[in-house]
Amino acid sequence: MSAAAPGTETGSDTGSTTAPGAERPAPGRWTPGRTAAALLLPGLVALLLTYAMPLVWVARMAFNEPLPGGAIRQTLTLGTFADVLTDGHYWRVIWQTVELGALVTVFTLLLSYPLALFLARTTTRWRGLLIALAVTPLLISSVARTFGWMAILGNQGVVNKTLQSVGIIDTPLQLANNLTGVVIASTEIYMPFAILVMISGFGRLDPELERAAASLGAGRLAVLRRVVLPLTLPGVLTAGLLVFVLSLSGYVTPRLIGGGRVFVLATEIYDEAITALNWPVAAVLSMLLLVLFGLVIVVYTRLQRFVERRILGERGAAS
Amino acid sequence: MPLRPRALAVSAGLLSGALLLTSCAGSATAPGGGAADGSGRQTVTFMGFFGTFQDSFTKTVIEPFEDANPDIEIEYVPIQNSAEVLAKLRASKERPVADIALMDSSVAPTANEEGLFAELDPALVPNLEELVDAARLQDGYGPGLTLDSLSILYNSDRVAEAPTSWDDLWDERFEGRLAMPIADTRGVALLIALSDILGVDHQEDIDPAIERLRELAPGVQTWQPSPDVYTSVQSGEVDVAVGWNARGQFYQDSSDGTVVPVLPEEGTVQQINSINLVNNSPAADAAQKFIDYAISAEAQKAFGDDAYYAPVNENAELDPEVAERTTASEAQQDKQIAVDWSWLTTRYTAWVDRIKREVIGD
Repeated sequence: MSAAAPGTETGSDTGSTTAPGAERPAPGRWTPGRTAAALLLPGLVALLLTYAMPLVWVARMAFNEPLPGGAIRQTLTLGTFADVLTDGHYWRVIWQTVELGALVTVFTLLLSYPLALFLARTTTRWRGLLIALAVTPLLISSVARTFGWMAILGNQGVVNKTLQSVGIIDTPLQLANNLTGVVIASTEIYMPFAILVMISGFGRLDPELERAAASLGAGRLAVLRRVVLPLTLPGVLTAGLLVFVLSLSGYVTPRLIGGGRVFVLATEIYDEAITALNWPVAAVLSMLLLVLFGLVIVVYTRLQRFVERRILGERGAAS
Repeated sequence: MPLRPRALAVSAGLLSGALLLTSCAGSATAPGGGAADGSGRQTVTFMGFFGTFQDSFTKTVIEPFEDANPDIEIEYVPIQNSAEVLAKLRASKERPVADIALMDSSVAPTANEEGLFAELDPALVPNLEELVDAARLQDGYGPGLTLDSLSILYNSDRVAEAPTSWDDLWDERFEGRLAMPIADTRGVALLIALSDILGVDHQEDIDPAIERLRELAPGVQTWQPSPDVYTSVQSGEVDVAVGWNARGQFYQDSSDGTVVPVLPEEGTVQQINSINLVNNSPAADAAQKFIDYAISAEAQKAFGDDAYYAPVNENAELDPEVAERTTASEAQQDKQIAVDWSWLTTRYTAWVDRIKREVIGD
C-alpha cells in the first residue's frame, strides 16, 4: 500500500474533527450533547478505520498511473479515468451489470410479492414458522447455494437429465455458464431479503380497507389493483432497491455460475486487481460502481416521493 | 447497573482509543526475523501457496531443513496467489511481513523492480550454480523453485481416444465439452504454445494465435469452470480442458485415473514459481540458507516426487515413474518452449485483455 501516506493523513484530520466533544473534556459540566458525542465516538472511529480510510485509499489509487507489469506510478492524473471511460469494453461491463441488476430485481420482486403478501396477511398460528421458513435460506452461504444451482442447472444437472430422460430435449439446454444461470441463481438468493423487507414495509396494509372496498362494490382484482398494490408499493420499492444494489455489487454468483462469460463490475474489479495487477483501473471501476450506487439511491428517493405524493396522497389520508 | 453519563462517555472514549491502537498495531507486525527468542532459535517467515502445495512443501522441504538446522524455524504463511504477496509486501516495505516469498515468474520482475525483493548473495546460495536454464530468472534475484507446465486434461471415463496434441482441442468430438480457463497465465502460456505450432515468434505477433483461439470459442462450454477445472473434468461436467500439470497429476491420483493430464506432443510452456528473498528482511542470512536448501538436488527430488514438479536443479533425478508425468520426462525434455518472463511481464496484461475481449467476450 504505497499510497498509505495520504490515506493516514486524511484519516487523522477527520479524526480530530469528528469528536470535538471528546478532544476537549471541559471541566465539570457534562451536557447531554457531549455525552451523545462521546457515545458516538467508538462507532465513528470504527467506521473511519474500516470504511472511510480504505475508501480514501482506493479513491487515491484511481488517480495513479498503471505501468505494464503491475507497477504503479504515484501521480495525480485523470488518465486512468479517461482510458476506462473511452474503452467500449468497460461500458459493456457497466451495461451488463445494470442489465443483470434489472433482470434480477424484476424477477425477485415478481416471485417474492405473492409470498410476502400472504405472509403479511395470514392469521394462521403458523405465521411465525412460515416467515422463518422463508428466511432460512439466508442461513446457508450464497456460495453453497450457487453450487446447488450449478448442480441443478448444469449440463449434467437435474433439469437437463430429467428433460433428456423424458425425451423432451436431445441436447442439454444451456442453463448454466451464462447470463441465464446467473439470473436464476441470483433471483433465488435475493428472494429472502426481498420477502423480509416487503413484510416489514407492508405496515399500511389493513384488512379493514379491503373489506371497505369490497363493500363498496370492488371485485377482488379491483381491490388488489386499487387498494392493496398502492398500499404495498413503498415496501416493494425498498425491496427493489435492496435487491438491485445487492445485485450490482454481487460477485460470487456471476463468478461461479457465469462460466467466465458474464462480465460485471464486481468480477472485473477482481480480475483487474488480482490477474492483471492493474490497481488503478480496479480503483477507477470501484469509483464508477460507487457512482452507480449514488444514482440508484437518487432514483429510489424520487420514486419513493412520487409514490407517497401521487399514489398514496397525503400520509394521513392513507392510514 | 445504570451507568452515569460521564462514566459511559469515558468508557466510550477508552474504547475508541483501544480501537485506534489495535489498528495501528495491526500494520506494524513484522516477522520474528532477526529477533531470536530465548531458545536461540531464529524464525524465518515463508510466504507460500496454500492447500496441497503447503502440505507437500512442509513435509518434503521445510521439515527436513528444520531437522538439519535446529536453530532456524520456518513459519509458513499461506497465501492465495501472487497478487496477494505483492499487495502484502507493498504495504510493508520498510518492515516486511515475510522473509521469503514465492511469486509467479510473470509477477516477480515487477517486485524486483520495485525493490520489494533483494538480490541473493551467491556465496550463501551456492546451489544457484546447479540450476537448469529455465529456472535462471532475472540476474541476481530469486530463482525458480517449481517447474510446472500447461497440460490438456481429459476425463478418461468419457473420452475413449486420448488427446495427444494441442490441435486436438479443436477436434469436433469435444465441441461443447470444453473448459478453457484462459483469462490468466494459462491463456498466456497457451498463446505461446499456439504461436510456436503456427510457426510465429510470440514476441513479434500473437494475432494468429488469437485468431486460432477465436475458432475454438463457439465450442467452449465454460471459460471459468467452478470450483476449478480439475473438479469439472472429474465430475464429467466437461470432457476436456487445459490446466496445470502438477495439480492435474495430483487429481489423477486422487480420482483413481478419471482425470488424466496430457503433456502435448508439440511440447508445452512451463509455469515457474520463483523463491525470493524479501528486501529489508532482518533474517536475510538464515532465509538464504533455506532458499539454498529449497533448490538443492535433495529437496527438489523430495518435493518433485511428491508434488509432480519438474526439478529446477540439474542434479535432481525424480523417480522414473514420476518423471514420466512431468516435463522432466525424456519425451518432453527437449520440447519446452522457451519464455523470457521478464519480457513477458510487460505484455501479460495486454494479452489477457485480448483473450478476454477478442476470444471470450466476442
